[in-house]
Amino acid sequence: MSSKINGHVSPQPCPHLLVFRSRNGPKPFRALQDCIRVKPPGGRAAIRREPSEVPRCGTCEESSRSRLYACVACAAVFCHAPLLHSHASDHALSIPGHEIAVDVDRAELFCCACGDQVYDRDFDAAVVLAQTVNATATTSTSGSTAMQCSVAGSQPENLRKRRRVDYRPWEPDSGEHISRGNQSIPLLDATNASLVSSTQQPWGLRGLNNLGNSCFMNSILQALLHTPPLRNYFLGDRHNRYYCQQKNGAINGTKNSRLCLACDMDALFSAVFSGDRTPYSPAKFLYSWWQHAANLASYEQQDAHEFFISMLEGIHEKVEKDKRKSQSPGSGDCCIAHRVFSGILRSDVMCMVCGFTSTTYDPCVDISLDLEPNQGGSGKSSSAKSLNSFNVEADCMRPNQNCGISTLKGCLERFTRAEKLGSDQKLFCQKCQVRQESLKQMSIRKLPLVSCFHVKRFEHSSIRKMSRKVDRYLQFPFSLDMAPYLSSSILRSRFGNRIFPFDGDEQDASNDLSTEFELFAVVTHSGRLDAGHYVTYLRLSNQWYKCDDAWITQVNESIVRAAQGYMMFYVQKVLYYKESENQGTS
Amino acid sequence: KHSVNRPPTPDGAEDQGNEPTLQEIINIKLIESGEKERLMELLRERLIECGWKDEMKALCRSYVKKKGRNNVTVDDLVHLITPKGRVYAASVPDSVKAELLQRIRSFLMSAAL
Repeated sequence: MSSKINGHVSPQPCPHLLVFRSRNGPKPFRALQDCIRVKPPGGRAAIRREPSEVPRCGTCEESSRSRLYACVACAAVFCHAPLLHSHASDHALSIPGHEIAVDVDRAELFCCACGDQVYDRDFDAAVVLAQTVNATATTSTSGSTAMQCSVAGSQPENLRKRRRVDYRPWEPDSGEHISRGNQSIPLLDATNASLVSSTQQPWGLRGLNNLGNSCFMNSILQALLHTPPLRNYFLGDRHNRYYCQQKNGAINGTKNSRLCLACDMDALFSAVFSGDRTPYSPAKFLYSWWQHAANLASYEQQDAHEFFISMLEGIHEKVEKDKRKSQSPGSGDCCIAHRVFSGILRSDVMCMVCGFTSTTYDPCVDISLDLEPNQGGSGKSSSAKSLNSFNVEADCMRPNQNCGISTLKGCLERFTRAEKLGSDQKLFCQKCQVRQESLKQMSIRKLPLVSCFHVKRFEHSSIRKMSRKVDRYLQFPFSLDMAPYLSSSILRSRFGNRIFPFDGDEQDASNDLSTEFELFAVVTHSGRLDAGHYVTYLRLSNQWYKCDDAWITQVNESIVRAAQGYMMFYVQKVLYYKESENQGTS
Repeated sequence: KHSVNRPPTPDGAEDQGNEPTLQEIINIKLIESGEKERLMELLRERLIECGWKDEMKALCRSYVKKKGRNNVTVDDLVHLITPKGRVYAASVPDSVKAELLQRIRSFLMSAAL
């Protein structure tokens, strides 16, 4: 009864709707469209013959207790309460051709005979247009680009259609031949094959020595070393440190005059995946990073998240010199760091007086989430102390926040919820030409290959000149579907139950990759703000490993679930290969 | 055949000589002033925040999963969750109920009813 277009279900019309359409010409709801009234704030669409009309049921005068529906054929209004009486159904069944009605407070079509919602593309497009008509006055040829009109600024670059390139197997060129011969280490040979199979640890697991409060760096490096697209890039020799330094040397005329964090990463990958299990000291890496982020160069404990951001920037900076590539981080074409981590966030700001919405797109390499403020006493909050039992799910079956357990999904829901900005944060409305109170809503326009979620556990108050750490436990899933947080989903929920005429365009943005993600690394922080320790948990071959500086141990997944997550790394499911337990060594 | 632009139906209440009840008067005043819409928005927000909406959604989802997507109508879902919604109303924090009552009270006082 319903078909899928671009992955979204498009409901088929019921027989009554089909008959109605065939009897009433190509635009059967045209007259109804004149009655669409949009009420700010929130911009809900209603159907009223006159703007001030108070609808009542034609049979029983009811106007408040149940939903009211207007018959599309004769404009008579009736109540519809499926559990009690439905004068709308009575009307529909008594006169053929009068089955289709419209919810007067939601502008949604309903078949009173089927008792079910129905959809009409043209009508829904008209409603969406009415709700966004404040945006611009330009009419477009295709008629159904209302949402595109509301975009302030141009479309993000990556929406240009990508040309598909035919597959060609790789053959090394002469330079690659040489570097392959000189610098490569066979992954499996007589000496280390036995080493690997005896310890039965997956490739690339190697402890990192603490060089003096450098666990903030070690924890992030462990996560990056096992970020699938990043690992593949470096192990696939896509950035060769020998080749690169020569280039740099030639440009600047002096040896080692330029640091390159990507080269240091390449060296790190080589060392960690060499098969050698003795702990490695990333001293060169730390030194290079100090040179890049001079203000953070010290033996003091740093913030792991700050290090992460600064590292990505460092890798990006290097390739800024390559003018051939697009520099916009949003497209992901500028460097491997952005290719892997960069997504695009959409921000909609709606004026609460006139409804005008301005939309902006910004690239982002991660999403920082606030933990919930403390729950008010509702008498029902169960203690969040059940950290060690991962029966938190069982204890708290309801997604109700009264349970007191914060979840990553809850944080994401709050992140994408429409938020009223305070009266001290009035934003300039282009239509009103004055600062007005606004409603802001974030959503994800384009998902990255790897989503990094940063939990804001460290609060710094410049007013009170103090900082504190929030220890509250946050529950995070091992598998995460990001669909509800996409712009397409958020917009859908803003406009009620509609068919969207611009589904085709939005699908390009959410691209061919799915919205399902798998967790592969968790960076945790324990202890106080000034005296704490970072540890990373890695998920390899569906086993969890604890990486505590130089010590790597296999742990049970319940330990990970109970850990205090600070940064969680999720990769697109299609890129996450759940290897079998048996690692064949031939 | 009736056209959609037919003039509004005459007010049945007046024909029958019934006085509008207090409830009807309040309802009309709420609608005309726009307060009803604001209260509805407020309630929607609060019901989302306290998880009530998620409860209802979860109930609907499991029902649809059980019956099959093509075998469920909106009316079926209304039948399903209306009684449950009343039960789950107990899970709505008292502060929400108090807030709404307070808003309605203030409105009534300001509307001099």
